[in-house]
Amino acid sequence: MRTTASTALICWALASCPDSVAGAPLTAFRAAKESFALYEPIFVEVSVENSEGREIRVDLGKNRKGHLVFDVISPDGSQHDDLRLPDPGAGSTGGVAVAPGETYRQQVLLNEWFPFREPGTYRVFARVDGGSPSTLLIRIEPRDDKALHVVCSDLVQRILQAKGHEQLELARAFSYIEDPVAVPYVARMLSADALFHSQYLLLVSLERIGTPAAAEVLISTLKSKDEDSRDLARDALSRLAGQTSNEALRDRIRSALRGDP
Amino acid sequence: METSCLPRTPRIPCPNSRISVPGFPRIPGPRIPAGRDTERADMLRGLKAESNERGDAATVAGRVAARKALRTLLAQAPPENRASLLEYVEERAALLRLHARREGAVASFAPLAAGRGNALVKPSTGEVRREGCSCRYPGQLLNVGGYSDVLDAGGGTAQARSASKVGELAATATCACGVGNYVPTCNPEFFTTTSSSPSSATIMGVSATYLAGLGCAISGSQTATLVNMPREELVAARFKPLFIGNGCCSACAWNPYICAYDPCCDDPVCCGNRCLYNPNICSNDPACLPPPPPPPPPVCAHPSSFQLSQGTDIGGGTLHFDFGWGSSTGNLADLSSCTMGERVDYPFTPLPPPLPEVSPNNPTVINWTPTGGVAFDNHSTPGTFRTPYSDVTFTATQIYRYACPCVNGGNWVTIAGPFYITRSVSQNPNGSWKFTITENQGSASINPLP
Repeated sequence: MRTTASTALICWALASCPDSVAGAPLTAFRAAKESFALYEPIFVEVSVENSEGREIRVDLGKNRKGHLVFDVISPDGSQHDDLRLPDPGAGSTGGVAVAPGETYRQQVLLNEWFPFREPGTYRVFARVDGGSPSTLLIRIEPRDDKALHVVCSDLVQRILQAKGHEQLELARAFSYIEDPVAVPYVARMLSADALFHSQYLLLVSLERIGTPAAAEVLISTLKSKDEDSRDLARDALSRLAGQTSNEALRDRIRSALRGDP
Repeated sequence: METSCLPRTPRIPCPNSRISVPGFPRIPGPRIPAGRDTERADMLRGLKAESNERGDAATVAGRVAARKALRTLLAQAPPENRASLLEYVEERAALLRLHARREGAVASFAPLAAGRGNALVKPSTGEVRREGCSCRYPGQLLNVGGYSDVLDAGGGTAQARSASKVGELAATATCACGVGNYVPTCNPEFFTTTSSSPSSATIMGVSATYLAGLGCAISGSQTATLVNMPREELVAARFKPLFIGNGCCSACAWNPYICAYDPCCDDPVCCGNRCLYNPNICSNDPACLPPPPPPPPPVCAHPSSFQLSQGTDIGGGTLHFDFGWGSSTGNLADLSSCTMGERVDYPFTPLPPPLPEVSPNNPTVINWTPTGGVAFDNHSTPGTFRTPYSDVTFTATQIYRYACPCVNGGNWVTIAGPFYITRSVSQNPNGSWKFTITENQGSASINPLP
């Protein structure tokens, strides 16, 4: 499915806009597959095709995803409109130059926009801000321990082998596996010493999971040699202690934050 | 057994250039186009004329065999050897003619078993000696199978036997490649064999040297003592070095058509042409590629020349900054192994009232890959301001930083900051309230607050 995005929003550099008006780039969204395990990262490919005879420039927003907008209709019929990534914070600019006849492609993690926490079929309308939407059907299978283990194992392997931006994005994807199955994998990655400043994403995921096992990993991170990890673990544990109804867990966390042995 | 190396090796199967001599099984040899070699043809005509001087059946048969053998020999001789062969033939013929004249006999000679791949049968014993010479080079004469002075002493029967005997001697005296078990048999022993009655020839003083991998070098002189002839006569002939063949070799144990020393024998798959870079494959394998050059030493690049714009109020109480940086190498792509990011520390969370009740991660860490060279930062305060409004000031501390594996042990290096992001709610002189956010000489506000 392709849509013609609004030229006004696609144009990145004003000087290039008149050139792009004649034939606006074609944007398309395509899910990596039809169905996903519950909590499996959902990757969607965004493509921008330049059918013009000259280079075009498009602005996909902060980190090349700030201008991507999704509307989601959940399996129960509830509608979630105009989902955008939060604006605060620093990020790279989203300008992309596409050569004539070329197609720019990138993967985005749909979970960043919406948590697919229930099994069923979701209808997703994806667009570049101001453009016409493409429709995606995302089927989320019921929770499957074994499938999640496979997903986790595969992602961990890729994360530990990846570097730079790729590792960062894979770790981000992993952080959306909000299932206790992910905890030992996170623990393994944190102890592997192979992450280059992407630990913070995994610590956030432990807070989302929130189980005693996840808390234990966060507690062990309080002794990490990485300052960010220590501070984030402390922050996450503080919130977790305030939110949990599990008294034993709360006591355990508070004890750890006090530095009790 | 055919092997993969056969196409590589320009070896042709041994032709059936079997040569028959009296007393030996007669096997057709290759056809040689007539008139191919004028010199050779002349020589053959001469031999034929000589032979015809005495024409009993046995003699003629021997001569025919000799001619065929010679024809084959010549056909198979490499060009560079033909001249010496002809010289040899003529020399021998002249000597024999001389001898025959003295004896009143007709002399001829036959270089008998020659050529490649001969199958020779020793008549006296029935022993089959197969030559397994490797005919690696087409058209090359591999050996001189021997020689024979065919003496016609006037006694037809004796002469026939003589021819036969000499032929047999010749067969065994072959400096043959691959006789028997293919051991190169440039064995002088053969050259000193004395044939049995009724005539015998002792061939002496001939040396044959096997040159490993090259073949036989025959040189020296011959003295033959013929017995049981009307008159015993010493026939002397002088050899010139005849050939240094190129094909005599021990046969490969599993493939008699190649030499033992042929690389294909030890290495049937690649014939010795192993890939230099991967001995498990052959050199002609497309996968035989030199290893990629070692990667250049990693470029130790790090972000530099960080520049932060003045803050801009873009509405809604959001303070916007643009910033950029370069690479210490001048090439932003060299920063691919680096990480750039911001860290914002709050004195506590959630934010105090009347600021919106939000609880950002503390610290808030955001990282990205710095190859783009530009980024921006929006300081906003999402959520609803809480009433009743009151004065509050809340300051967070921000740094921009980078981490590169080759700098500071891969740990963070602050490239800008600390900057202080101050969010405040205060009352206007007219009694209304306003929100202000400031950082680095920039500010944004919501005035008045709803």
